[in-house]
Amino acid sequence: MNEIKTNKEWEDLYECLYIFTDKLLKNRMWYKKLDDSSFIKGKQVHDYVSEGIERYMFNPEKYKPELGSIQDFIKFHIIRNLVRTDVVSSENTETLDIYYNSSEDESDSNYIESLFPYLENYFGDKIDYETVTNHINSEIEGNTILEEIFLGITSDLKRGDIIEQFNMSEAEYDNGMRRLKTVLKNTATKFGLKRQVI
Amino acid sequence: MNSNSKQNKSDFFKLIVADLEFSHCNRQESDRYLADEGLNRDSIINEGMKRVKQMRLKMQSLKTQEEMNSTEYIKNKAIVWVEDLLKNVNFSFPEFAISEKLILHNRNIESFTEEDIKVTLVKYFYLKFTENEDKNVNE
Repeated sequence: MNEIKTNKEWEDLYECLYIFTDKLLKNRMWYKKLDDSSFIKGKQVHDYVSEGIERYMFNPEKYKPELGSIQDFIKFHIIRNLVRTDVVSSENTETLDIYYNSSEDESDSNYIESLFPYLENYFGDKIDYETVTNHINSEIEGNTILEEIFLGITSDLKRGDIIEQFNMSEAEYDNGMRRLKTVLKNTATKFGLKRQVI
Repeated sequence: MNSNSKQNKSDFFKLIVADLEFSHCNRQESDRYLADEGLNRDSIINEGMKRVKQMRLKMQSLKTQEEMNSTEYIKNKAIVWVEDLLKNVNFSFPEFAISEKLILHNRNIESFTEEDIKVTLVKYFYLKFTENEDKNVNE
């Protein structure tokens, strides 16, 4: 989708972004949560989502369709906004040591890949990704659907492409993703990964 | 970090992002999340659409303001241009009117006062500059 036209499209987009942001905030990925409904500077989930949408609406020329969907563009800006403004806020006493390199934001990586430096900050640099990935591979070995979803995701395929490419049903994909989610969760526990988003 | 490690790291992050993606844009998963968190979809959408509407109005207002500023700018530019032109001793309004095919509304060119000439020229250059501006925007 290169342009959001109908109210229904706006509603679907808003809901996706809201849940995405709610999850990020509640899991305290990059900031100190103050109470159940408001965060740094008294912001609410709606405020972060609105700021992301505003970024797209008032600067449509900044959005490059070849780098990803509008949704990815806005998500990237929600996370960037969280890191750039809230993490360094004096209200935030838990994650002041975060590092970000603004020059990485200007690269021509797609919007999803542009999130990686922020994820890296979250997970830290002491993780042995090879061991972690090998563990995930061993956990899904023998389950064809999971292996295909894993291959599809790591080859940058989207849900629809994976379903089509590997000739699986939507239900098989959704069930597979739920199973993969459990594998990721168990992996996080096993290796003591800091992340809590799963 | 060797290329294999980079690949493993990239694969891991792609899985994390795919998981995030799956969890909030899949209808079933969204419903489950909203229910688990005690969130009301209608209330989220109502507030969200209210904000989107406000942003659209704000954007429209900014656009109108920009257009007004642009109109005023072009008008001033045309006035300055014409004033300079009229100062040029070699400038002849009748010749200019013929060469540029100015529409004079069947008025005899001899009957034009200095003010009429200025107004006619400002209108002419205003339209010309506006056309150029539009052309630049569309290119």
